[in-house]
Amino acid sequence: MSTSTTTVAGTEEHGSNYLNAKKGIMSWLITIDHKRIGVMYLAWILTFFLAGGLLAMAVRYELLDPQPTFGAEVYNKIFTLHGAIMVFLVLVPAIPASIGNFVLPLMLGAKDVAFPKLNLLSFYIYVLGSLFLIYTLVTNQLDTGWTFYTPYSARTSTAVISALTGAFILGFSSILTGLNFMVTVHMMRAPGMTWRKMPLFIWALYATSLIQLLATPVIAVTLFLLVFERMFGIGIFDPALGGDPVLFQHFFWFYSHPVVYVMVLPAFGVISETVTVHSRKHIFGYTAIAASTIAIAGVGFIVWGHHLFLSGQSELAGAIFSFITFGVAVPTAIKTCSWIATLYKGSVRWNTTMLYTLGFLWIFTIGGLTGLPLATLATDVHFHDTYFVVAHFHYVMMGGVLFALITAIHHWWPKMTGRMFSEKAGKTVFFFAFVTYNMTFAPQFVMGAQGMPRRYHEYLPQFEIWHQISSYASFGFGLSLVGVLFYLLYSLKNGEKSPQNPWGGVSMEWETATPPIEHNFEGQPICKNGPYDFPEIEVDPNAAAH
Amino acid sequence: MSAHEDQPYYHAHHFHTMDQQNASLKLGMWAFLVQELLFFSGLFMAYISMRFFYPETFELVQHKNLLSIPWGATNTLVLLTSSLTMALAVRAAQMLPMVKNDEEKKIRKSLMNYLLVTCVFAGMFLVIKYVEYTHKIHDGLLPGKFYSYDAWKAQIEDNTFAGVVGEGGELIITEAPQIFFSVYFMMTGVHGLHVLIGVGVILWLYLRAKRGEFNRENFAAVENVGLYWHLVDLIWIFLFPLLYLVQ
Amino acid sequence: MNAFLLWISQAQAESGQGTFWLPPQSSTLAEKTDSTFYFIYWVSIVFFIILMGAMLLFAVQYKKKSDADKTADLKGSHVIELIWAIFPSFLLIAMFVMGFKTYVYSIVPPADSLEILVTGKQWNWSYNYPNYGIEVGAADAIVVPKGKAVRLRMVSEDVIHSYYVPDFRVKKDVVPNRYSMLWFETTGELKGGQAYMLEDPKLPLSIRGCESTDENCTDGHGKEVAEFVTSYAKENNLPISGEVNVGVHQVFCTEYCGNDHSRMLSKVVVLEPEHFDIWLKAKMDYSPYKDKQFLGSDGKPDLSKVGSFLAKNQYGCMGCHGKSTYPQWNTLFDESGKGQSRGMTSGDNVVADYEYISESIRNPQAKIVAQYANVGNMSNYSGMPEQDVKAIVEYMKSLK
Repeated sequence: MSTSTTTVAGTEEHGSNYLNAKKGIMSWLITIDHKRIGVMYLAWILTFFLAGGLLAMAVRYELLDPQPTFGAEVYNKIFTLHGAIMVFLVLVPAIPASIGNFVLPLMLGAKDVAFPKLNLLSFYIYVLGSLFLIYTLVTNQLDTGWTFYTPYSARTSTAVISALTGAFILGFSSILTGLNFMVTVHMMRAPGMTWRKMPLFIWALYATSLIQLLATPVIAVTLFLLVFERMFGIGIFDPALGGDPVLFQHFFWFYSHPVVYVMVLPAFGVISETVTVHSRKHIFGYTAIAASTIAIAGVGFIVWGHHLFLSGQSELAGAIFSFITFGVAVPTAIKTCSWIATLYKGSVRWNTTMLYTLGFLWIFTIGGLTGLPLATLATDVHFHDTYFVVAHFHYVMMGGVLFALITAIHHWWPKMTGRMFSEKAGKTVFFFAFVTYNMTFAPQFVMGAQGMPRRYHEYLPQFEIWHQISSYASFGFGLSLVGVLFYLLYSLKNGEKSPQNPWGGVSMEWETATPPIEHNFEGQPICKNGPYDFPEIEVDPNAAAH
Repeated sequence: MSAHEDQPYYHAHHFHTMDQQNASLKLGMWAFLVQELLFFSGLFMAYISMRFFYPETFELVQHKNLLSIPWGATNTLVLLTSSLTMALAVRAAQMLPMVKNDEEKKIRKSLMNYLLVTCVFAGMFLVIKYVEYTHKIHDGLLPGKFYSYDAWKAQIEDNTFAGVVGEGGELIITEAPQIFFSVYFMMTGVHGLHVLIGVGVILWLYLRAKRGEFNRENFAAVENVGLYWHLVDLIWIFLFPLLYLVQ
Repeated sequence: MNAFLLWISQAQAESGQGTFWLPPQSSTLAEKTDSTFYFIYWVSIVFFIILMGAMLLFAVQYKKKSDADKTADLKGSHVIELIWAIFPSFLLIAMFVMGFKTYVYSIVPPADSLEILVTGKQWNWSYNYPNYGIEVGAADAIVVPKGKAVRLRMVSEDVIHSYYVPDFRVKKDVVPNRYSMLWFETTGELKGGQAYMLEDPKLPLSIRGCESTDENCTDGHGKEVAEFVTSYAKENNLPISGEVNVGVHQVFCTEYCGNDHSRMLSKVVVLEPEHFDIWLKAKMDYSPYKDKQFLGSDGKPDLSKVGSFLAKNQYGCMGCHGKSTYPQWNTLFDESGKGQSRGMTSGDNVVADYEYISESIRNPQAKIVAQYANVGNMSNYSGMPEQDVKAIVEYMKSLK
């Protein structure tokens, strides 16, 4: 175990922690403490998750019946807003901005991120961007699909410009957070923490920050061009004005493919942390996972054309993109196998956090495997723009990223709040959530393969049974998420006070007080051990060092 | 407790050493610049696509001298010079002594002057752009749907017009230079906005220099704004030939 | 191993019947696509079982027993990592190759394929057979010969659409200002002259288009085509061997295109080649002005009936105007045929007459009735022949 100079005892000894060090709402609104910023992000993100979730319920409600319920115009707005809110306001910042902000400096042994005021600015920009989306919601809404394909998006009369502006602004929040994290990882690791001693969550956040920095400006310029197309008719995307609608798709997906890795790489990082801590074992294949993380970030930039196989892109380009997309599958498979191998000969705790971790592995495996027929040219012809794709991305994005977010919230809940939640409630709700989640999205694979197209509010009767299973299960899943929120909030007042290190983690965030003091560490902590050197590990004293 | 009380006001307390602080600030600025490059690269992609689809339009603009090369070249010189003065400002900041003596006053004055001169040149750039823009507006050479073909009427009348006119005498929109001007205004507009922001930031540096905030340990702000300024200049170096010069 | 997996996937690919996952294979491409799919599917199932099996096994077998548990000092194993990186890569390459080969097959139409032009617009599909000068209207099906290659050359008049026939495993985006192409060659047995699914009263009205009790309801596409061929053959004494059997296949628009995206459906009707030839002749000869159904008591075409045909089938007007969210026709003229007045978005009132309707068909944006200002833009039918406009006006006058 490391012998740093930090205070090890609980909050009592120090008297104050980051939550009560400064009081009053203003102290939160102008804080530059990364922990408070992380908590504020989490609250705002979860609020929008609720909004996006209610819209999802509305989508599923419309689809209970093959006949229209809300009607085309309303439905088109509902599914568009659901997608836009979930992608831009929830999934992109979900793990990095909330959990990442809280945990990154602690895990590195640093007092804060490199640019704390920039961090606060990122948060303000995020809120500003969200206000534009709220404005869109209350004025003319949006009916273009979250993908904004032209020329429809250049011509429709809904509130496209305010939505584009909101997304543009949110992009800057993402860029600045990425910039901050990248510099922090390079410059602010505690002495003794080499790159190879960094927890894998940090590797994940680092790779994510590179993508945020490099890809987000491209969507910014794309949205900017689309705004100008609408306002000035510049003639870049709308063929009636001389533009090329497929050019928009290239610009759009150049960002929007890497952005899914912004969403999922931090999720992978969380799983690397929880699967190790809760089975008391080293991660299997640390180097492979770290290298795969960077590889996925890099290769993720050159596969965007797999969204355009049928759009009028050249067939040769399609073949190249298909081949490279398979390339991205390999590092992902390596990680999945490594996580599972980590459980081998471990001491696996069956607590809520581990259950969500295992749930993630199940869900992400399905999500990843169902990407294969989509990467394959011939089968993608049949599946493109059907419910098969909808099911695939909900499995990786929603099941994958969301379950990882829930895992992360549970894992670091004691550290963030100083309280323990009820394991019994956690485990019960988990089973309900897991079952309803699968029942919501698995039927969608079948209907998609049978030909059910996306973005339809009316459909042929042969799909009805699948839609009904999916819809009823989705209502159940929504309830289970409310359940999670409920027992977590309940623990804030009524939960047991958490010990300083409830799970026995050995990465540096567990050396701080729980909850941490305002500037994290007293003096300069030193990193003496690797992030997964648990005391339970039976090290053979005679064996050579690995 | 920590060494906070011993640290100078410019040493943020989440950094352990000034070296760490300065290195972090510089890395941060480079990261920001890379991201700016990617933003502009999107605009360059738009230029490339539009040029690929409508080469005649671009040739037409060259042929008819619709963009003033003298003004553009002047702007290039102006920005290049401003980069020089900015670099000199950074050098001055680097040389500022720690103690506030006469030498420090002299060097601080030269720092302030260089910063001011940089702003003046930037201002010249913006004024020239304003002049160019007003000419375009006057001639109706505007982006997209605001393009008016009055400027071409004379040519249409004596059959020397190289674009396509419809039956009702209206300009056929896909053949017209309004696409070129969309690209022109967007690229120079976004670039101009960055110049304007740069002016604001350099003025802020000027005020800080006046207050004596910089010294040879603490000049990262000047250096990093210098980096930003050089990028803005560099982008113009690409914009100028692509828009004004290429046949 | 590869061969075994391929064998399993061929076995799964049965023709004629749909399976749990996939619709009935009805084209030469379908078998190939399905083989590729089932290969990926079975590989995925096997790997899923291995991975999840291992995960659950380890989670149970190594469940924490006590706080004194010791765990293995296992940081990795180069051998194992190489195995699980390299071995699946071979399978991935196999998937890519299978997909690529089938894809190449799907993008190169045979040289002698029959070309049909497809036009997508918000929100219907219409077809043109350029070699025969045949237009197939917006509410009708595209008719193709069985076992012969057919090439679709497609364009959109407004936004991006996509043409998808699940049974054939073909799909392609239909883009404005550019042609896109897909081809297929149908296979499989043709059924008796009943369009499958269409007489199902559970189908939404918007898809059936009309009540099945309405005798003018022409949405039984397969049945309608079969009857069309049979009656023409009879009238013109053409030899026709046996019943006219059809295959009917659903077409979806599958790129979001606005309000009625869900309703932008169509059908492919497949005929035996000899029946298809008869159909071609019949269509070339056909004109609603000569159709016996539409003759008035004086032996001349009853323009209101012709207009009804044109509005419902030929031009697809009723696809929108038949729904209450769009401008209704029955209020244009009163019982005596006098035009009624409506308020426009410009503030003026306009009385319905031939000129107004003709302009509205050819240039719909010129005058828009105020209460329908925001329902979306109607495409313009600037090429509509005068006599068709006249017929449609008569139809409008006949509406109550």
